Amino acid sequence: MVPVDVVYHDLARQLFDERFYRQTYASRIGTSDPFEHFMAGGWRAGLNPNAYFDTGRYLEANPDVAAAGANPLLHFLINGATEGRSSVRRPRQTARSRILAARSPSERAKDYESAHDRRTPLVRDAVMRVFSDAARRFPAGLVVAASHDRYRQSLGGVQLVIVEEEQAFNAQGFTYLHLAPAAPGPLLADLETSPAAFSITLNGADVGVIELDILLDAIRDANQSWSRRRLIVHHFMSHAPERLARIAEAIGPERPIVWTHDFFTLCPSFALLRNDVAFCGGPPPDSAVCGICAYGADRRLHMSRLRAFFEEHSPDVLSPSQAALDVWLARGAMPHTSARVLPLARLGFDEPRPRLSELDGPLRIAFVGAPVAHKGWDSFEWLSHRHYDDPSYTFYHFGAWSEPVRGVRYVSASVQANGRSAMVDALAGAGIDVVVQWTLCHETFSYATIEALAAGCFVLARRDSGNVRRHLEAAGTDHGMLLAGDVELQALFASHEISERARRPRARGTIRYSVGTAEVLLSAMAA
Amino acid sequence: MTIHCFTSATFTYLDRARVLARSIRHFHPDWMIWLCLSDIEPDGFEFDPTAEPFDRIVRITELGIANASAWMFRHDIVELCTAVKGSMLSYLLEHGEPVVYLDPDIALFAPLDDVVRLLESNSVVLTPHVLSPEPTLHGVLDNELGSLRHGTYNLGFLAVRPCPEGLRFAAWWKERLLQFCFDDVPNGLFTDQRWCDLAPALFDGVAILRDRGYNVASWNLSDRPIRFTADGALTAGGSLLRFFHFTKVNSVGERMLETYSGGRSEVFELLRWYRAALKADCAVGLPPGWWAYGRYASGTPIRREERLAWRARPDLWDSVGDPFLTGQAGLRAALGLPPAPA
Repeated sequence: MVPVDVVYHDLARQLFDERFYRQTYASRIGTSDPFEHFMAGGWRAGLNPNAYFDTGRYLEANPDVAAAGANPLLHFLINGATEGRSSVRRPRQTARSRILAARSPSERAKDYESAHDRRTPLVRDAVMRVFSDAARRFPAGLVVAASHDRYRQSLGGVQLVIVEEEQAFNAQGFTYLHLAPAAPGPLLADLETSPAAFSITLNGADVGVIELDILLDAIRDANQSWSRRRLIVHHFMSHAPERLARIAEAIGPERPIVWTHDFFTLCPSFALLRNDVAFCGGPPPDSAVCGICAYGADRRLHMSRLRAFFEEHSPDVLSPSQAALDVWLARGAMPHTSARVLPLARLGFDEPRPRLSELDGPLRIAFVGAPVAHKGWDSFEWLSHRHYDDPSYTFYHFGAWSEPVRGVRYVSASVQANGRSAMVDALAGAGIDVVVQWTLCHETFSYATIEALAAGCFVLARRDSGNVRRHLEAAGTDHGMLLAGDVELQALFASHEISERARRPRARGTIRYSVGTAEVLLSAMAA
Repeated sequence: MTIHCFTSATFTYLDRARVLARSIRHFHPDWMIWLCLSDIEPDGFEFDPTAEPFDRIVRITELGIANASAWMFRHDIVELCTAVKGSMLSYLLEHGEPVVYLDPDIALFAPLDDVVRLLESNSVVLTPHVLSPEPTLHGVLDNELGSLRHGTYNLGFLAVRPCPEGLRFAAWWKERLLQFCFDDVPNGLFTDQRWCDLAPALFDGVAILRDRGYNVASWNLSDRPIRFTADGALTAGGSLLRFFHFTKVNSVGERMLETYSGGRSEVFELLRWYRAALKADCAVGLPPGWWAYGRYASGTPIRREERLAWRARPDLWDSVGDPFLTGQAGLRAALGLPPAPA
């Protein structure tokens, strides 16, 4: 008969996640065995044995355990679980810590200093040469596009659209001049303190930094070379709308085009996440709710500066989905000349074919993308913990970086401009049956959803998730299911109803990526 | 009608009082805002009343309390800050306008329309701690028994009209607080608060404001969950949130909010805002834990047993002189206490 304490010691070892402990507390454990470190005193120091058992919270919630000096993990195993004592760091608890840690964008601006482009700006002659060279190679017209970062250096939906449209414009002989802010930050650029300069990419090549005044002169001089000219604002972040207005005037006379890839034109919280946790829908800036939001103080000035731009230029607005445009029109009331939807991609389904996992084995369930709370990671992590011992499910995470969780297999996968099918291929190749698309945001487009659908996965999503819902409604009930929230999601897995639904044969699909603004502009400019 | 609104604090709660004052100003720009300050600034701490968000500041020593030093010595910091409320209330009522009291750790989120309305035809307005029976045992023990121990009404809020009955209430309360404003729950006393349990019996026109938006705190949060509407309004239990009482925000308070938040996180969004507001209004250069009346003139901290022993010796109040100046050794000797442990 094995002694009781050995039994519990072994159980504790089973719940202990060595990889998590090593990664999380590397600097503290040195060469010690992680489990022994935890049991000998790591727990006293408030270290957690895995990603879901919160040592500190357990002791806080159970002061008798703390007073007795008992190891909380052992106590939980011996008494706590049956006594119903709370141990797990539930999503709402992490909401509390996210809220209390939320900072205003003004406070976060300091964090961006290392991203500033400190290269010496090009001298006037060099700029003029670059422009005349471009006019020779791409004489059909000039498209100036502004977004929040140097798109060739980062991942993301907006960046991918820019690459596509740049290629489409170049193919038709148009010069594509991209303006990234020389000093990135989370807000509109402060006119007093930010440099009036841009990191320039011209026809796909990095040119360096050009100052605003020289840029304006170069554009005006080049007006003879390019009879057709247009300004596209993909994103205002880190730009000063007043400076973009001067560029619009120099480019003139056509109205600028403004995209609503997210809700930055409604609030500095571009996903409209109040205090970084909940979709707020963009209430009036002087509302009490804005008053208590970390973004509220910055919002007022932000809106008045953007409103001035919209009032002066009355742009043509493009939106990646009807879901995004509906919110923008309902909440923004920004003056504009036209507003239309231009989807960033279209999904077409092929013929159904049998899938690997239809035959046998556990249902393969995946989370796709960044493992962060506002993309629904907490709920997925909860599911994987709840069903850790369930042989009918295996859990995966496909993304560019991992958040170690026991029971979730991580697969490195990300979409680059030249490998757009990387995620679809990874999901299909691994035979993923179900994707839990649990974003808390009101998505304006959601490539992740159509990638999951294209890979033939059955997609679970919340009803209130913006364009994710439209993708699922368009795909039909064979390809996905809309749920109200966590309770329904958990019930679907607890009852195993998901297995039956997800095993039916499903078609894969093909995604056709749009060429962004080029889709509307090329024909218009040809006229 | 100019309403006079006051709060009572020491320097350690100056940040809270400032946040309160700004929130009052925002919703009631026509009210006169007063601070009753039971403290003296330490050396090196710059306090410029003209730069503060209060219209007027009244020090405890200006309230005309007889034998003030001997009286103050009998009270700890909470007892003193509550005891002065009666005297300050009477003083402000002399202006002939209604007076509202709010604790310094309160912030307004909407105008106090129902208070203004009730003041038109009532003498006194009170807000109870709890408005409905507690559904759980834990809640009964914490909140209903808590009310029986500490008072039915939360005196973080009080409003009084200068009508005859209101003045009678104010005079009575002032007298009781001058004599009996102590934390002595086993003997039925809890500072200024338990006294008001008697108010509806002793006076006419005592209105009990039961709208859930007023005086929301951890002790009634489970009955008044915080929700945000799509138009941007803050609500508590379905009513517009008027003011929230942020007790002990940095420690025990957060745990109490967690216990009664029903798993929702909206209340922490209020807490986040409040902590950021306190930071912006912090009393720069104030030594932590400062209170002028917490120490003898020599700087030695006053022990609770010394206060309690002093309280029990009215025969000494006029003869010993200023107990703050007497010093610990001398006072302990006069009180028959053994010398203080080192």
